[in-house]
Amino acid sequence: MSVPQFDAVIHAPIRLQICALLSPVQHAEFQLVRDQLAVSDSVLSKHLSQLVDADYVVQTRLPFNGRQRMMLSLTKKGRSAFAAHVETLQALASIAAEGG
Amino acid sequence: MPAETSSRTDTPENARAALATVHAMQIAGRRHGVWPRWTRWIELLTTALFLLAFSYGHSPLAMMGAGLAMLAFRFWCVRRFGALARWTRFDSIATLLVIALTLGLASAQWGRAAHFVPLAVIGGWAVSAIALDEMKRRAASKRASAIDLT
Repeated sequence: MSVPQFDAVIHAPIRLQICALLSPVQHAEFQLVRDQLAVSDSVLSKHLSQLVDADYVVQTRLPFNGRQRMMLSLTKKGRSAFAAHVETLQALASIAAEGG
Repeated sequence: MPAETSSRTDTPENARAALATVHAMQIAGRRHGVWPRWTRWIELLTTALFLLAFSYGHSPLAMMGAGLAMLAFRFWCVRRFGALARWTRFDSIATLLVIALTLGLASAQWGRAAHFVPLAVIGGWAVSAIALDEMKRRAASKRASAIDLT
């Protein structure tokens, strides 16, 4: 069996969840991501900075419902990397299904 | 981009658990995030078609068909994406505008029948809102169980 190659940036569970949450939408609020992942602001910021450094996520301040909010979105590069990572996971999961 | 292997997801069981988490997070994103703009344009298009049929059709069947198409699209969105697009002030204004135009056109075109049409339109919106809310609640409980599994 070949060894699966995972994206090093997305591989961490928290960062995988961040990318998954952002993948179907245009933007999501920082607060929403933090609440869904049940992590602190600092933990989320730390993981976000790694995704931003890899050019997978962009952070922008946008007016929304009358207030300035920190919005997060996946870049094109981030979407491609996330899709490839999920494909790798699916391929690995399908091995179990085929095997038994 | 460097790649790595890890003991966390290098077994099929862990990969499936990771995929379940991904799925749960995607549902959460669809429920609470800001959708791509194209979904709003399609919804506005169906609303416009509804109004067009109402204005030029002079036919209850055409109006009903357009209205049903609009509702069907909204229900499809819930089933496909897990929720409707996030509600904003823009949506409130658009909805009020649609109801106001519908009431105005009904009064102008149908005379006495107009007494019935607004009730049907408002009733349709209310029923669809209740049904959509129920579907969203079910999607939320499904998401919660998916998270528990992982």
